[in-house]
Amino acid sequence: MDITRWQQIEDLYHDALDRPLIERSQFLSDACSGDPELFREVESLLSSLDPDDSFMATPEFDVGLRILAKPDPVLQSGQDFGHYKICDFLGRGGMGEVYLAEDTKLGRHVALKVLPADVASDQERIHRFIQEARAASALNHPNILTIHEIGEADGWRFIASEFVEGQTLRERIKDGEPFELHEAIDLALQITAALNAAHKVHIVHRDIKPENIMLREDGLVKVLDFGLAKLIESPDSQTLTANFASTSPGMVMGTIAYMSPEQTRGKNTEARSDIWSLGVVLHEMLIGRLPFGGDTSSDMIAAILTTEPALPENETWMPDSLRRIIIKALRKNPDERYQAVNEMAEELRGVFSDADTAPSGSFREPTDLKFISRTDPAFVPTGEAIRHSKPEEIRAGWSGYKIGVAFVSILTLVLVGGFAGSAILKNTLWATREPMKITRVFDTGKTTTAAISPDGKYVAHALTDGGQESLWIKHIATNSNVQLVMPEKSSFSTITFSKDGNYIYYVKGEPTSPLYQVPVLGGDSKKILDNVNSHISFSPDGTEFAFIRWLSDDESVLMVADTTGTAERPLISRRHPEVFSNYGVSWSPNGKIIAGSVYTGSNRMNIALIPVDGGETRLLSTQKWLEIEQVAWLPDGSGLLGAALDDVGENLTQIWFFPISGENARLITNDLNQYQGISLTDNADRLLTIGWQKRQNIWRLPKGKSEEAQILSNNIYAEYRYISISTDGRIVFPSNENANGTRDIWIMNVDGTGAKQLTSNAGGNILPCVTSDGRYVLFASNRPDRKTYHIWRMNIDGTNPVQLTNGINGEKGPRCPPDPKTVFYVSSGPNVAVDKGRLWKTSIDGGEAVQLTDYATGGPDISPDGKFIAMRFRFDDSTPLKLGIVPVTGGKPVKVFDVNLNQSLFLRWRPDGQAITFVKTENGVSNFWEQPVNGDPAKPVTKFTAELVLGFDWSRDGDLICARGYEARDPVLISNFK
Amino acid sequence: MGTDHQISKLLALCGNGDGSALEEMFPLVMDELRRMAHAHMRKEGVGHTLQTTALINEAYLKLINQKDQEWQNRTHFFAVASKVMRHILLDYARTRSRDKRGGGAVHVEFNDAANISVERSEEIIALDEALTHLAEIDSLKSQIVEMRHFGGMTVEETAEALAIAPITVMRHWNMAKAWLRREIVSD
Repeated sequence: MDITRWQQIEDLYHDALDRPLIERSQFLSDACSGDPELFREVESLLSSLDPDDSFMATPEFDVGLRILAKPDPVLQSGQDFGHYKICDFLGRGGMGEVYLAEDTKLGRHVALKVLPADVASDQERIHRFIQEARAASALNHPNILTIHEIGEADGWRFIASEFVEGQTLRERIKDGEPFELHEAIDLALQITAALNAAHKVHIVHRDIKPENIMLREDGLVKVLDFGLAKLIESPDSQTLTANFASTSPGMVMGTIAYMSPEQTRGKNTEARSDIWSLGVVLHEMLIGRLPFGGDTSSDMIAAILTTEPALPENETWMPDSLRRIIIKALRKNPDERYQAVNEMAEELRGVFSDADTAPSGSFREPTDLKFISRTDPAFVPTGEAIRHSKPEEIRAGWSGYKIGVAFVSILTLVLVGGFAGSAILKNTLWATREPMKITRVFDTGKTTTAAISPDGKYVAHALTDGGQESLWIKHIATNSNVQLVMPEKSSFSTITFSKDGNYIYYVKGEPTSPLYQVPVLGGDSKKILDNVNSHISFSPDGTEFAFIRWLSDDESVLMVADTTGTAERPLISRRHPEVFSNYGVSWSPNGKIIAGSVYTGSNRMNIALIPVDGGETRLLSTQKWLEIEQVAWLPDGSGLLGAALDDVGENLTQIWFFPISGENARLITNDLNQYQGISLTDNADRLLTIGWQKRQNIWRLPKGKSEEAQILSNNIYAEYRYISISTDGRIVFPSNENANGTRDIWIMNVDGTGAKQLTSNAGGNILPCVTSDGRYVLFASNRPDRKTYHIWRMNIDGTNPVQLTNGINGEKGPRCPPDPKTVFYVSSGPNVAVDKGRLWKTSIDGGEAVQLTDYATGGPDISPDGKFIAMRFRFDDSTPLKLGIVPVTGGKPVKVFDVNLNQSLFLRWRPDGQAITFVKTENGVSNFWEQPVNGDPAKPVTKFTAELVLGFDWSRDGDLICARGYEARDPVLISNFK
Repeated sequence: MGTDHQISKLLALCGNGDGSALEEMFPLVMDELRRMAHAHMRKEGVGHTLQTTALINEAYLKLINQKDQEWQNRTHFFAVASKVMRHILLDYARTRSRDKRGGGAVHVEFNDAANISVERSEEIIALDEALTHLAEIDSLKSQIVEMRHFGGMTVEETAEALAIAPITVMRHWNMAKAWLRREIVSD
C-alpha cells in the first residue's frame, strides 16, 4: 500500500477516534467525500475496535516462558534409540514422554512411551506393570492398544505400542459438538468389548477415562494403558492425598473424576470399578458433564461417595433404558452394579431394541454407522441435537434417528454395491495400506492345535477340556462350530487340511503316532499310517504327503507317502545332532523342494531345503535360531513363514518371514504372545497360528484341603515354580528369564503385591529356600561367570550374599532342616541333569561338604523332626524315579514307596511329618497326592479338573500355598501380513 | 570470542539491518530465555507471575559484554526477545493444531500450565499471519505489537526501547489492534 495513502488512513482514523461517537460517522463522510474506498477502510477499522478491549489484552510472554520451561524431550528427532528411530516428539504426560518412532527392524511406525526415571527405577512397579501390560496386550483385542515391546534402551525404560492416528475421547468431548446418541453408545460398546476381554482373564484397567480412550479415524476405539494405572499407584496403596501430592491439581481432578467409591477409599480395584468408570464416561458423553463434580478434589471425592447422579428424567431423548444403565453402573455398592461388563453391554445394545430401532446386525459394525453418518450430513441422525433441544425437537430427534438408521442400512448396501461416493473414496485414500490384522478365533484358551482350510472358510481345531481332547471345525463366516471327533484321552498332535479341503488329517499323541483322516463334513475317522512323528505337508497336486519319522532317538527320516498311506518311501535321513525337528515340513509350491526345521548342533536350528529329486540338502540362511517351528511356503515360492525364536535373546516366539534368497528373516508379528504352528490359505491372504501365554494364580489350600481352596493373587504373569514360603508368610520365587538371560529371586505377599527383588545383576539365581529360622534365603546361583551353579545364601532382605559351595560340577537345590545349621543340596555330575546328582550337605556358613548318597538323588526335603530326608531316587538310570526316605546321615533309602515320580519335580513333608506331598499331573491336570509314611498306598488329596501346579510349599501355619496355572492357547488369524 | 562479545557484535549488526545477525542471535537468546524460564519455574512454581521486563533485562545483562550496554543494543535485544517469544508460541500452537487434525495425536496428558487449547492455538496462528501482513504495510506497528504482545513490554518500556513517545506507542498500538482484529475476523 502507498505510504501516503496509509498515512491518510491513519490520520483519519485517529481524528475520528478523537471525536465523540455520535459525530464520527458525519465526520468521516465529510472527510472522505469523493473517496468511498477511504471511507470504507477507516469505517471498517473503527468498527473493528474491540468493544470490551479483550483482544490481545494479555501478553503471551508468560505462556511462552512456560513453554520454554518445559523440560526438553529426552530424545531428539532423528536419534536412534534401540532399534527405533525417533521421528517426532508427541507429548508428555504423567507416564513419561511419548514419541512417534520408526521400528527399523519392521519398518513401521510405533508410539514409544519413555517412562520417567523415578517410575522406571521402581522395580516392583515395573514388575507389576510388565505383567499386566503383557497380559492385556496379549489378548490381541481390536479395541485394546497393542503393546509391541517393553524394553530398555540407552538406560531408559520404554513401551513400544501400536501407533494410532486419531483423537482421544477427551479431545472429542472438548470439541464441544454434542454426541449423537448412537455414537455415544457405539463408543461405550467398544469400550465394554475391550474391558470384557480383559476382565475374562482378571485384568482390571483401573483408569478408564476419556484420556485413555483413543478414537481412530475410522471409528474404531482403542483402550490404552492397561496396567499403567498400577504404575502410578503408590506401591502400598496409601491414601489418595499422599499419592497425588506430587502431581498438579488439574491432573488429580481428571483422575479422581472417574474413580469408583472403592478406589477413592484406596481399596482394591476390581472389574466392577472399571464398570463404574465407564458409567462416568457414558454420563459425560451423553449429558455433557461429569456426574460427580466439585471444585476441589475432596469435594469431588465427597460427591463420588455420597451424591447420586442427577440424570434428566422424562426426557424423550434419553431412553429410560439408558438412564437405568448409567444409574446401575454408578451404584456406590459394587454388588449393586453390573457384575460383569458384558451384562452392561447387553443392556446397551438393548437400548436400541427398546426404542424399536434396532439396527440389529448392522449395529455390530458400529464403524460403518458412524463413518457414514459423519461424512454425509444428509444422513446424520438428527438426534445430534439431543443436548440443547427443546422437548418437541428432541422427540423429532429420536424418531429422526430411526430414519437415520434406515438410511444407513441402505447406504451401506449401496456402498458395498460399488457406488463409491466421496466418503468411501476418502476412506480408501486414507488407508492406502491396510494394517496387519490379528484376530483371535476363540478366546477360551483351550485350543491345542488348529489349521485353516485352503479356501480360508474353515478352522479345524483341537479342544482340550477336562483332560480330554476333541476335534472341531468352525465355519468362520457363520460362526457355526461342529464336533468332528469325540473327546478322547489322547491328544491331537497335528491338524492338516487336504489340498482339496475335503479332508482333515490329524496325528494322535498315542504311542504309535497314528495319522487319521476324517471328512470335513463329518463321518468316521480312518487310520492312514502309523509312526508319523510330525505335521504332514501335501505335494502341490495333493496326491502325496511328506512327514518326519523317527527311527530312533538319534535318527530322523524325511518320508513321503501317498494319501492312502501306502507307497511310503524315505527321502533323506538326518542323524543326531543334526536331526529334523518334529514340527514338520512344507512342500514347495513347484513341488521340487521340501523345507523343514532342523537342528544344526549347539542347540541352534535352521531351515533345511531338501530337493525332492534327490539333490543336495542346503540350509536356508546363515542366521542362527534358538527355535524354528513348523514352516509354510508362500504360494509364490518367495519364502516361508513360521514361528521362530531368534538368537538375539528376545524371548518370545513370533511369526517370521524367511526369504528364499537367504536374506535375514523379517518379523511379521511383534507382540507379547508366543506363537506356535502355522497354516496358510491358498492365496496366502491369511495365516492361522496358535497364540499362547501362561496364566497363573497363587492359591491357598487351608490345611491342604482343596475344597476350601482360595485364590490369593489377582492373576499373576510370572512363573512361580520352586516357590518357598518365608516365616512371615511371603512367597520367595525366581523370576522368569530376564531380557539378558539372567534370573532373579524375588519376594512378595501371597496376593501378588509388595514384590521386591532380592538379587540383581548377578547371573542366574534359582531354587530359593527360606531357612527355618526365616533369616536367610538359600539359593543356587551361577554368578559370577554364569557357568556353574553353586549354593549361596543371602539375608531375607537380599543383603550380604555368601557362597557356600564351590565344587567343579556345581550344586543345586538347597534345602534347610528345622535346625538351620546345615544345608542339604544336590550336586550334579558333569553335563547331567539334577536327577543324576547325589545328595550332599554342608554347614550354613559353608566349608566342608559331606556326600550322603551314591546313587541318583533329587528334590530332597527334610522331615519336620529333622531326622529324615524324602527324595526321588533310582539306582539304575533306566528305571523310573521313585519316592524314598533316607536318614539325614545318608546311605541307602530306609523306605521306598511305589510311586513313579518321573513327572513330579516337587516333594514336601506334610507339616505333621506323617506323609509326603507331591504333585501328579495327568492329561494336563495337576493334583496333589500324599504318600503316607506308614506305607499305605498314595492317594490324591485334591480333585482339580484343570490347570497345572507350577510350584508349592507348606506355610508355617500349615496351609498349602501353590501356584496353579495353565497355558492359554487360542487360534489366531492374521491377515495383511505381507 | 565469548558469547557476550558475540551478542554485542550481533546486536550492533542487527541494528544496521543485518538479517543474518538476527538469525544467528536467535538461538542464543532462546537458550538464555529457556535457561531462565527453567530457573524461575523451579524457584517460583507454576502459578507465579513473572516480571517480563525484569526477566528480559536479566537475560540481556547476562548475554552482553558490560561495556557494550548501549541503549540501541538493549532495544535490539528486546526486539529479538519478543521475536523469540513469538516464534516459540507459534511453534507450539502449530504443534497443537496439527495434533487436532490427527497428524500425531496420541494419548498425552499435559499436566502443566502451558497447555494451550486448540482454539487458542488457532488464534495464535491467525494473529501471526495477520502480523506478518501488517509488517509489510507498517513495520513499526508490527514491531510494537510484537514487543507488547509477545515480549510482554509495557507502553513505557516499548516507547523507551524504540525511542519514541509513549503517546505515539499508544496510537500505533490502538490502530494496530483494530487493523489486526479486522484482518483476523474477516478471514
